[in-house]
Amino acid sequence: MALQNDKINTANLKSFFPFFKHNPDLTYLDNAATTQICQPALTAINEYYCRSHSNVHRSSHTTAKANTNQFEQVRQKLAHWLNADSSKEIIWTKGATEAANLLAYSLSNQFSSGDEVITSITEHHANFVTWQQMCIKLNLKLKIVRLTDDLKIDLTHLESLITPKTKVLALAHVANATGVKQPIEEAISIAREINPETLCVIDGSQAVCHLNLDVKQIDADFYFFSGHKMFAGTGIGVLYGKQIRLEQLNPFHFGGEMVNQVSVEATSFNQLPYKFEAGTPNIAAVFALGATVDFLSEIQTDTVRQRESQLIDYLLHQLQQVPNLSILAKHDLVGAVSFNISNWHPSDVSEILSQMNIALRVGKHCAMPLFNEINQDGSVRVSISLYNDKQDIDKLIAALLDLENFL
Amino acid sequence: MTQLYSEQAQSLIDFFQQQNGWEYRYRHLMKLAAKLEKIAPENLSDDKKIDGCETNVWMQFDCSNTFNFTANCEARIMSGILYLLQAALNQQTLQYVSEFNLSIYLNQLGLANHFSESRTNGLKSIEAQIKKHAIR
Ligand SMILES: Cc1ncc(COP(=O)(O)O)c(C=O)c1O
Repeated sequence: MALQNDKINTANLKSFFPFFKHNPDLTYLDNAATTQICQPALTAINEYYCRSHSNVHRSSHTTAKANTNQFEQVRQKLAHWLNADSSKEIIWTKGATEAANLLAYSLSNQFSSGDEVITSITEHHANFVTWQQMCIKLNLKLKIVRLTDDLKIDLTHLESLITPKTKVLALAHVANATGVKQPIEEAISIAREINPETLCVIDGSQAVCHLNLDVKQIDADFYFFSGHKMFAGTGIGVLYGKQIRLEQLNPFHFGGEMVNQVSVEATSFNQLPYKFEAGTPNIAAVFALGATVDFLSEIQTDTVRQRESQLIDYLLHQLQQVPNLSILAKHDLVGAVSFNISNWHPSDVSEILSQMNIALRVGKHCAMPLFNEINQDGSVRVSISLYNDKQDIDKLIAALLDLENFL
Repeated sequence: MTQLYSEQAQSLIDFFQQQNGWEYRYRHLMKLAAKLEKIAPENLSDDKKIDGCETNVWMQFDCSNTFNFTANCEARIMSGILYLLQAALNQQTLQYVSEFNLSIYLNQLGLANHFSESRTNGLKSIEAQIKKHAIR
């Protein structure tokens, strides 16, 4: 999809996101929870349902065929965008949570009692609880890699944890509770060096809208994220897997489309990627994701990336001017900063800020194991995206400075 | 709709009604947090935790004579709200408490509109505990 104006005004990116037109007074700083949907994605959803709604991969009438083509083109687009080898390596899921569950479940026949899974306490529950429960069910050993003082994976400790029994290393690329970019490339190479069979699973949910992703360079076996964290709307996620790894997985859900031959006695399964896509998929959301990738390919220029990282630096700097404010982690922040204000419970901060029309998130950010260790009350998390600007940060800081008037 | 209130609760309503703007109401709620009658530290235990609140709330009831409760909460705004409940309900008869309508009270205080869905749900759990102890 080509955008109306060939020269995009990156200075006011909010104009591509209708949410801001309808909420002009709101300062939206909760992008780690979800990003606003972009106009091209909305248009794609609308056009699909108004003009060409029909199923994919099944019927052979004209609109159905056109849909199937478009559906598969989006898959190719995503493969290209992520620098995957082939569109067979792109599996549609409902989101990151479903991708994590698919992996844990589909891998389970490759595990036996006593095998090990390594993860960290800075994971989102989607990654953490899923592996924890798989370990409980199959009697695997869940090993937790320690964090350094700046809340990064402790690579030295990781090295000591990998053994010949290590089956999975599951880590987030960027931690959602703290915004810290994790040294996943180093972690992956350490794991492979000691045990080349370790399957490296990376949760990219908080990286996808902030970093240029290249799955070959990252070299994980699996990498997943949700569409709603990258302006595409809810109901769609991507699971990338190296083809040889995906071939080895059992199907996750059974049903239509994922089969090849079915008799009363037995079923043979479809090839990749369809083996993992039982039932009618969320076609509209796939089209929205495709339109979003086109949109991002056009606007997410180096200038926009640079502006975003300058904005994080600015946010960090300004937060440090607020009295009694302590930041959980200050280094290698991507998209978010997490903090506490002494003598203030995070929930009181968010309630007052919400009255001031500032949207952010407080609590344990679906990372309870982390907060059980570092701080029982949780934190306040400010998360930005490409459409945020200096004014948004200034409003936030003014609101935080105003808090003391409530005491 | 209205209902009869203790002198203390009525004066809180009068005060809150004079406040124009959420800032003043919230500021006062935060101040009231300091007045909350808390559970004695030696009696604070997990079985007194109320399920379904955004922030941890503990309540202890003593209904041997009139209705009375003490409560703890880590957050100030919620502590202020709990104090508003103590002002309205403590030392009242069990009959009064069992008939007390919390949402009318919060409406008259001008607070109901400010509360999120999850806050309202938390308050419902608290109200349910209060009624359970008053009716028993
Ligand atoms: C790091 C991380 N992983 C997984 C998820 C889960 O994503 P979803 O709820 O879209 O499945 C999130 C969402 O907050 C996240 O931040």
